Amino acid sequence: MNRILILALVFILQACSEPTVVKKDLEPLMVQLSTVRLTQLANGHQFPATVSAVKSVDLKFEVSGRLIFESLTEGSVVNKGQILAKIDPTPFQRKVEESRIRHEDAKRNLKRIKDVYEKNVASQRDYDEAKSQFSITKIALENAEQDLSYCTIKAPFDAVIGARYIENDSLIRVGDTLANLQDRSKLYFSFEVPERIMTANAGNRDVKATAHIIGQEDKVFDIHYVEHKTTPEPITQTYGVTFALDGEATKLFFPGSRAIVNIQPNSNNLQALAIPLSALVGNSEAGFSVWRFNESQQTLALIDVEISKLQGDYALVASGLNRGDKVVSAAVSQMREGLKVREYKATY
Amino acid sequence: MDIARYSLTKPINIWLMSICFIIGGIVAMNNIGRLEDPAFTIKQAMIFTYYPGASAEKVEKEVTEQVEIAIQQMWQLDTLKSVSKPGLSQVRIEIKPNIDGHLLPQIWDELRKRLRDIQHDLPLGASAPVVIDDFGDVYGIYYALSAPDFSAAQMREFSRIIRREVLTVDGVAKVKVGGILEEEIVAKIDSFRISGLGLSFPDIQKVLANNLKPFSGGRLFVGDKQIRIPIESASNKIEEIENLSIVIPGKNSSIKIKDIAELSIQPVAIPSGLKRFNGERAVTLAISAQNDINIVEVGEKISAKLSTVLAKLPAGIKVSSIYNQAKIVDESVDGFILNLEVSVAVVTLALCLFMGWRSGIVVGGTLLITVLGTVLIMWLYGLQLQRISLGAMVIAMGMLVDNAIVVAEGMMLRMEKGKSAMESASFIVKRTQWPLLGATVIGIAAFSGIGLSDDATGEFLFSLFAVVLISLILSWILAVTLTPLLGKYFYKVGNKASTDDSQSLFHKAYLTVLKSALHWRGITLAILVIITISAYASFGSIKQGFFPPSNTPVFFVHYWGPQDTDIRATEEHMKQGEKLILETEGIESLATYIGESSERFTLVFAPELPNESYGLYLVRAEDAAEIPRLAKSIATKLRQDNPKGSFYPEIMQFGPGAGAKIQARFSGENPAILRQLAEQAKKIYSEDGQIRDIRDDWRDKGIVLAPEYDDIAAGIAGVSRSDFSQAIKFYTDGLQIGQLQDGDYLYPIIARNSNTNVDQLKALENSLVWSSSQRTYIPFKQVSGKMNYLSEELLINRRDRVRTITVKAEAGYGETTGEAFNRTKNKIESISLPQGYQLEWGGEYESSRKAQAALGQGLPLGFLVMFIISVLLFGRARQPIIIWLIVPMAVVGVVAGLLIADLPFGFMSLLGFLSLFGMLIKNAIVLLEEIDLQIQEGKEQAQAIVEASLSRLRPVSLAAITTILGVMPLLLDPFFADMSVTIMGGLAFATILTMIAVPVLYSVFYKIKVDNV
Repeated sequence: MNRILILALVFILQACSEPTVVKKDLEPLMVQLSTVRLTQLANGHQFPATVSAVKSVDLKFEVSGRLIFESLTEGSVVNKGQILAKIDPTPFQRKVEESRIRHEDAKRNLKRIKDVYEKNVASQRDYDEAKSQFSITKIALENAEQDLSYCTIKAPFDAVIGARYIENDSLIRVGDTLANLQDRSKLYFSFEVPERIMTANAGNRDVKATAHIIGQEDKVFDIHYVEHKTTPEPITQTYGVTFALDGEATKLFFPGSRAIVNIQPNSNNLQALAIPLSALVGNSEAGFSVWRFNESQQTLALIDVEISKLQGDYALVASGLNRGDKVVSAAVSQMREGLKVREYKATY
Repeated sequence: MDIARYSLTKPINIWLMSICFIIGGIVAMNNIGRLEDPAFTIKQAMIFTYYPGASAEKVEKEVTEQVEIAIQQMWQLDTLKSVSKPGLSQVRIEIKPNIDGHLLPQIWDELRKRLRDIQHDLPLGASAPVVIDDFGDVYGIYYALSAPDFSAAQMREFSRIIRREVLTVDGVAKVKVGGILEEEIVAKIDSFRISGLGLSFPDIQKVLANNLKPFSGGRLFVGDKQIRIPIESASNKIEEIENLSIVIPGKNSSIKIKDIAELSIQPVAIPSGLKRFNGERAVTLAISAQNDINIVEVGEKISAKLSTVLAKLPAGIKVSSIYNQAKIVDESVDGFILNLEVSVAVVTLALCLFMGWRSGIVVGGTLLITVLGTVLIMWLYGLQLQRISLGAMVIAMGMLVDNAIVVAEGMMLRMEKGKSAMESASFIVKRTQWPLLGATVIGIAAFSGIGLSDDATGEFLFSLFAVVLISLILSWILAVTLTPLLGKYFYKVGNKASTDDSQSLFHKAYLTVLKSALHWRGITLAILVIITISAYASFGSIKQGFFPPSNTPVFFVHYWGPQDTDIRATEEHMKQGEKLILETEGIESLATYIGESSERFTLVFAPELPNESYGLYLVRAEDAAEIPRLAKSIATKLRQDNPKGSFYPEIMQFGPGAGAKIQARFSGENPAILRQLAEQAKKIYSEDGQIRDIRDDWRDKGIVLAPEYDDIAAGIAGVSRSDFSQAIKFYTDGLQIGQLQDGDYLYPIIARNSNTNVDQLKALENSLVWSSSQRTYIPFKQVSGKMNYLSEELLINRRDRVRTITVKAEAGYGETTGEAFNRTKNKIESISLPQGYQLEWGGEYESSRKAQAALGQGLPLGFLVMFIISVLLFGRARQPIIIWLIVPMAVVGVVAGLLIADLPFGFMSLLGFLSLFGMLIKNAIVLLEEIDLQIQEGKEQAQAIVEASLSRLRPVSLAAITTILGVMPLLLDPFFADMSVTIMGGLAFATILTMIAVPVLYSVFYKIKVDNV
């Protein structure tokens, strides 16, 4: 009996209550909405690049000798034709003198034999011999004169001395590099482009490219396309691409520095629909949905969307929404299908 | 057995006992342990297993599942809950509530052993499971340390010193420091630059590892001596790391670390949890005291210690108390002792008023000694003074006086009739001792449901039963020994020979009513039945509750951002809200927790598990009564200010069962279906209009960015997955490249990309990956195709190994959870569940059901004892049946009382109800005994009924009045208010029942006709 009593008591506790509250008509919930808008797709790429000069030429003597003059201050600018180095010309002058004497001797000899030959005294053979001797000595003289001119090196183009490898008074052998001359009329930015990007952009030259040197993010220069390789680098499977920088800016930094190149395609079709990240709700699969606002009925509906990319605080929508749609962008977890809502508008 | 005669002839023995009780009671009062809530073990442990990089689903399948299987075999297990998050598995194990708290260490040992056994089954990369078994510890003394002018490292040092000092205080068990700002050494490296040099992270890692590890050196044997050769230990300053050189591969030159990396000590980018106090960064110091200790004393010692420690530290450190159990205990125990004193005084005064000052002294003296004796025995048995045991004393108060009143009243009446003290005492004690003992045991048995309940609530309330048991037994002993003795000293022998007819108006009125009731007994019974039935019918309109809100002036506001929120964003949101709260009037202090919950500073607070999207405001109001209003207005303001997050206010309640009050659990296999079911339930709740704070515990899905790993391209380039993941880590949250030990602190050295002004995602896409086999850098795009954007589950909750989603909600403002719950229960239950899916109720419904079920297990036994005793007492069947027929009628007064006071019927009222049974039965027994005795003595039956009733009128109504007055002070205590109303209302009606229904039923059962004379 006691047990029955307790059971009855428990039963009463649970069952006897009646719903006493009258159901109220619900106020529409105030929600924050965001409009789906078109946004410029930041579809650029960034590459680490190495800066190099357009031309880089090594200076070498074609004759050996002792260096007697050099004007090769590293980093200095030289004009075309400016004398850069000389080796001692005396041996070469002597050689020229010697050759000239031999040649004049041959010349005189030829004249003599020619006279005799015309009088039919000398043989045809002697005459031919004298003629060839004349020519040989002439060539020898010319060689000696050329060697003499090789004792002086002049700047082949307007250039900057990139590096100097010898000291004055040292003995120079044929083939020794004196210095490196760089053509700074342009600077080249070379970088490796992944295969994927290369293929995707094959033939597309319409890009805007900028570059800056590492550590100087505020100085950005426009650069333009020059050339690209069509065989990949064997290890990395990337393609070398070169862009160039013209003009005065080339004087601001040096070949060999490391730079960052930004490349931005110029095409027009690079706009995408963007919604705030906070509007996304995970759906029952691994995808996403958003709560779209129905203007006419002031209700919400769950729409599946496909996300292609994140950009800042925004997600770019590949499909599912149209421009101008409004989506809930705060407290999305509290929304429900068909919920009556009102748009929150700041009143000040 | 003539106990009264013995005590009157050997008064010295009784005096000895009384003096023991008085002196012992006073000593005990000063030394007895004082706590806020009863010491109560939370039988839970957490198991954390880390599995970096795995998704929630992978963690669930590969780690959580294994851990759960291992634990499931433990017979001690009650419930097993788990949360699988990306990279982390949290399993919460709850031990059966009936297992003794002392056995827990052994159980945790067994748990650890089982987990060790499965360690090799866990996947590669998963950490060993860590068992946290001090999860249930209560840190009752809780300080916040703020020192805005000092660095994080200094704060760390200060808190270390303070912790060390506080641990030396006697009685302190544990000190937990929270909110320490972790630091790391950040090496900002320009990846393009090291790629130009051909240096890689493994190279840098190797250099750091080779230079920073500890070295052992060697030892020489020279002569007879040993000589140690130490190697100067690793450099431990940043400058020294900066000056380490790295050889550039393939060249004979080297470069210093500082040339490629910018090093600095910084607070960790992703802190695990932050704490703030009153709007400033703070370190918290949570102190737990040893069990069974006087927390008030420990609290005083701690605060003294703190001030001496602070005196040694530089000025500018502010220590504020977040929660001070010691102070609360001090106040509440003092308040309760005051209640007790008021009760004793009220009872004594009432007795003086109704029975004269002599009886007042006799009964009041007995009462006082009973209370002191009870305190003494409590002390000896290691029971503490806390909310429950003190409340129990006040409940028992009403019943304590009953025994003494019966004896004193009987003795007084008899002595007035000219009998000697010895004779009257002997007569009345002999006549009533067995009925009184039986009734007392019945009163105790009514509470045995609590004593025998093995549920958490039972453990929480055990002291209630213990105190009732001790005090009631004591009151009976003292009533039959001490009361006659006191009566002998105070009562005078009268000279009236026989009953005088000078009955009071009250008696006359009662006589008239009784006689008419007896005459028209059919009508009387009909009225009683109708009243009872209508009371049962209107039970439904009483509010239903479980435990009432606490009177501590503290409430919480929980903040939940979307589940994938970064802790740094949560910090910003919390700071923003902080200002709003601090501006609010009526706020005393504010503690803010970011990414984790507060420590368990009071037993009834259940901390949330760490979660980056979670924040907690612990607000202390100036006035507890203002809390409902403040909580509501602050929550509304916060929601308006920050629509992105959800804010849920929570008001602390007494007793176990924290957390959301309404919980519906859906369990099954498929997450999509579970979410759909939860959506339906949420819809029902939100359409209800009143129910608020609706949410579920799986929370939002998160975004995953899955970069494709191109096997072919990576294979050609020699990029391994490890290279790939290192690159991703470096460009995002940082790659750990080494560790540096500085004193007692281990700094991780984190390499991060220096180019931070570009957004991280872009930096990653344009990054370079080191190919360790080709020793060269490869563009990221070369080895990774497109990025895939997916959504994934971030929290997979399981309960007893089945995936379970819990929809949580709170009742509207101004209604009890029971009302809101009952309104929506049927609608939720009518959601159609697919095959294999289940709905279970949690929250308050479950805990109150559990508590009542556990009580229900103990109750039948208690009632059986009560019934058997009532049969044994009479040795007949009809009397007990009469008693048990009137018991159900007690509900009438309860319903009326609760409806008038507008209080809910909660767990405590149920207890009050039980004690009411005890009192009702007791009165009925004594009355029935009296009738039987008078009939035995040869009186005419009808007359015997009337006269016996008349003679019991005074003691019964006196006992009722004293009890009602005794529990009256409890009306002001929110925890006991509904109980005291139950007792007061119930007892008032029960008195009428006893005095009218018992004689009427007696006359019906024995077919005695009473004429309406």
